[in-house]
Amino acid sequence: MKDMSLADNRGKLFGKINIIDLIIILLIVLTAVGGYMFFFGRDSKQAVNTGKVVYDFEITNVSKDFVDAITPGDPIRDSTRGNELGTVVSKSSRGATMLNEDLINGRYIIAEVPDAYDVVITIEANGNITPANVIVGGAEIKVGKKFFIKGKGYANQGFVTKMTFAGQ
Amino acid sequence: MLLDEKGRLFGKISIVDIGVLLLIAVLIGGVYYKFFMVDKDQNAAKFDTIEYKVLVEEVRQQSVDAIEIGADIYDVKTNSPMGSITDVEVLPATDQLTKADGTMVIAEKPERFNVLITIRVPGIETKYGFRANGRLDINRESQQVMDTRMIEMVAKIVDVKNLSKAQQ
Repeated sequence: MKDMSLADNRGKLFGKINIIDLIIILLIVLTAVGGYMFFFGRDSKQAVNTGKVVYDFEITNVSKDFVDAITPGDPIRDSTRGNELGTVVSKSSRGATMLNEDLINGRYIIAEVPDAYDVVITIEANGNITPANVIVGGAEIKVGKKFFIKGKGYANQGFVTKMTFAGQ
Repeated sequence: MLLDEKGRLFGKISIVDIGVLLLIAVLIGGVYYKFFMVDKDQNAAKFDTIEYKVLVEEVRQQSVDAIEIGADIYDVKTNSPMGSITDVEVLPATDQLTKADGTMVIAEKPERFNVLITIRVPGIETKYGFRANGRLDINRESQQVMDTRMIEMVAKIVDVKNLSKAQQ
């Protein structure tokens, strides 16, 4: 009876191509296609421009010493991953406040916290700007995103509260 | 016997060959499905226009300012496109408060806002529900983290409808 096997006794497809080689080639091709689609194939999200990004980063309820330690020109890093998030351009602070319940009068009030400050640090950085993301030091910068940052002699957590692009 | 002593099915086809062919077919099928069957741009013509509303609660003015009409919006977990913002309505943030005398009131939170965002996305409606780009479920009361280029926010879906069907 005629042998109906696709591969012969040496594992060659139709007696010509080694089936293991074929699988490996297919896997390489699929991996390459998958990689290309992942990095370049997602519509316009990946169209990258490089530009200057200026963003505000707010840290709440800190001491005066902490506020004083922040100096324009300080490099800022992500204290979790260590990547650079830009340079301090300026800072502004005000008395720290909290949203509290006034149960006597049935209302919410903004109450000042004694001896504590909310500080807004304005940071400038070079970023990769796509239609979907602004990436600085590998991190997506967006209003509402929480970061753990460190500067020269200080570290804390806070949120991005504003973002603009140079020239806007 | 299904297999003979050489591992051939019915004495004709090698079971290893079948396994290899099946693996290749599944890989090709998977890649085709992933990149061509559910792609928004490839299949936009088949989709209806789904309009849904999400509520972002108790945010500050900075966040309100970062939510822009026309911005593309994405699901953060899957990085999938979830449509474009067509309308933004800013409402005062309120909450129930139990007063000291035991009565309850609805009290406004100063400097906090609820933002009702209207989003349109190509999608499908089935008997099981609505899916953005045929991929992600849009269910009332479900919460998800969404982002645009400018802001990341926790949003609760409060309404969804098929605009294409409504216009027929």
